[in-house]
Amino acid sequence: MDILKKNYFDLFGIEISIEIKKSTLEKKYKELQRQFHPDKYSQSTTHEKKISAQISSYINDAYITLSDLIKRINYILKINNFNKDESVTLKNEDFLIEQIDHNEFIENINSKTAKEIKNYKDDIVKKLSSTIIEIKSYYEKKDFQKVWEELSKLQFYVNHINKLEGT
Amino acid sequence: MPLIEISDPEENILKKKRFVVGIDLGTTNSLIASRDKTTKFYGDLHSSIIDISEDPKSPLIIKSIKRLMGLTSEEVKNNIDNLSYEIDLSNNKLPMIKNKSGKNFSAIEISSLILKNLKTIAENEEEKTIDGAVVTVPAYFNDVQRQATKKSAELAGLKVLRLLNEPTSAAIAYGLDTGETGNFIVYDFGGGTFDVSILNLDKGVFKVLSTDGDTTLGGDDIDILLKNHLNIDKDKSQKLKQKLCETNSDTDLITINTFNSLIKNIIDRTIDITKNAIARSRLSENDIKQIILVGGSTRIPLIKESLKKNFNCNILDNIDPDRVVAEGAAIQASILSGNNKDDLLLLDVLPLSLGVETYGGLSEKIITRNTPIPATASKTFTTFKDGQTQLLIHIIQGERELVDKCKSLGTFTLKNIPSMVAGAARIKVQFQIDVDGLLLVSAEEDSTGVNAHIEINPSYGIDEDELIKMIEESNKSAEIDMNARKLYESRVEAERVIYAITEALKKDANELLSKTELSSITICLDNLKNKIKSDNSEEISSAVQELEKSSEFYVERRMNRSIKSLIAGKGIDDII
Repeated sequence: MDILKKNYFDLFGIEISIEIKKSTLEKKYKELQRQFHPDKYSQSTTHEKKISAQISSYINDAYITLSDLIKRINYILKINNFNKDESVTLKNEDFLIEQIDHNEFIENINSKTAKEIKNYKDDIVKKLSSTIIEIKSYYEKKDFQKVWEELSKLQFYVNHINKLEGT
Repeated sequence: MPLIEISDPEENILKKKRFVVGIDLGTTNSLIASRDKTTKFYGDLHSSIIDISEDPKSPLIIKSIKRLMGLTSEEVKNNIDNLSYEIDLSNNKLPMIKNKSGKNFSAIEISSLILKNLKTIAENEEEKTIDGAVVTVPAYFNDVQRQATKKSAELAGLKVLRLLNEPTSAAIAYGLDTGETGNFIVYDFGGGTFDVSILNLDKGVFKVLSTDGDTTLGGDDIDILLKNHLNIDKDKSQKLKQKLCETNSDTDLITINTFNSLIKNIIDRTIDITKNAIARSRLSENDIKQIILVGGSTRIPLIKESLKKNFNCNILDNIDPDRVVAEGAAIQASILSGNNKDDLLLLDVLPLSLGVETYGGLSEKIITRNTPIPATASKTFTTFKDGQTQLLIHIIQGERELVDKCKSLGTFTLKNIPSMVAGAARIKVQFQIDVDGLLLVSAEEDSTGVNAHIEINPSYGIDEDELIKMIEESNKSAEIDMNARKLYESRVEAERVIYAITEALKKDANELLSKTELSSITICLDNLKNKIKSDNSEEISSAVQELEKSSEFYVERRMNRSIKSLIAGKGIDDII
């Protein structure tokens, strides 16, 4: 099936980019499912039912991937046939030290005041936004290795915020 | 059983309405309904009890069988008490209830008896055979419980159009009624289960954002609390509960305050589950517009009070909470059968994560809960010994890290793996979840493309062969002519395919097919139209298959074309 070979952005008719509009994504998602969801084929031939289930699953998968910033960037790297060189991040000592500091903060969170926590969180959010800006500019230059390096930072910040909210 | 009249097949096929029903198979009560312009209920609430004694003098009444659906003997031992009948737990896969004449019944068979009763009531009233049914299940039912429900419907002679989650079903009934948009909580507190779903309604699209629940929490638990507190029997405690709900004031036996403090823990637990579901939907409580109440237990005044206190939104309870699920199911059945042209779409989610067992008895999730369905995911396994040709995979469902704390769905043995050095084989196992929330597993060896054979060994229940045997036996006893049934079913199937292909050809045959291609399909189509008149169900079925086969390429072309039109930004109405 041609549809199952389309990349997720093409499937949704959205231009490949790091940031996408949530409202467009939602609208396209519903349009696509209205067309291909298996419930629309319950009176069809067996083959048609099978295909609609495949396509509908593929649309759901695309929707999940495109809805999530990190999954989306990973996917962009994938469709650009990027092969990562993992040794590089390990050399990035500054970021390693930063990670240790952040983890220490979480460990000692019970001794922090509400204001300290808020300031800390604002700081992480700021770092997260600037990482996204970095990723966008590297992506424009087609420097996928750098995109990938920044992505691992982004992943760390997102997890970190989740941890903060969980405490 | 009425058979189809064959005068002018084409005309009949294109015009005929199917008799399809929605069934709410509840713990304490069940309902069956159909939908034309309005919803028609067959009888009122039917209590979900059944006598399996086969001896009117000493009845053996089975109540609340839904609580046992999909439970292994060990799970029954650990989780279920207060049963009013004895249960044989020696077969771990399938707990059995034995009657005096020594006949064994599983939960699947007992449910099927309840469904059969409902089926008979509706068929007698309409004087028609049911062509298909939407059967509802708690949203939080796992794969095993869903499979068990589907099997019991098939055993009752019902063609299952769809398993539908109860809260989603209720939302359809409300959504269609009011045309509302926005985010809703469906709070579904029944006799034996508690379910909550967070949904977004937008122009006929019902999108479930998250779901949560407890399949062992229900109004039954409140009866038991009352019973133990006052030392009265169960019937009396049920009646007392009803009175307390109706009057919301003191009774001779218990004050309303004592009642409320007695049930507070249960209600608090439902509120906690609701809050969890909201958190997982990625909405905040302020984003929620209304709460839909479902299930008889929501008549408890403390529930409304607690919901109002905890969530600042409107409560919708104008549709009878005992009937709203069956109503939604009837609507969905009528849409799926093509009787109802309402442009409505349900997008539901997987309630519990699916995973496999890894080293050390830990679970590795393959599809996480609240993933929209249908869904597929795959995982690659490899061998750890040279020349290894088999691999055992344990599939589980649930959120806990430890396999022991999750529900075991079964083990799968991959056989015929080509003999290679350790770690060289790449066996890709694909997990597919269909719209009913049911799992299907398939596997392929990647480096050689050999299909590794899968043998499913479910942790619970009956396999396909046993089911067919049971259906045949139960039909034998009911003296239904199996051949007549088969013939009827093959004709219904043939009509559906004729209709689907004829409608498609009318729309786009000129555009998508060459003359030769068109004639190859119409030859098969005409052949089937001829064969449908025959009394040989096998001839009909093979003609159906021929037509299906001859039109596969055409079906794919139509699908590919519709995506092109969507991307070109055309309205969807143009391309259906």
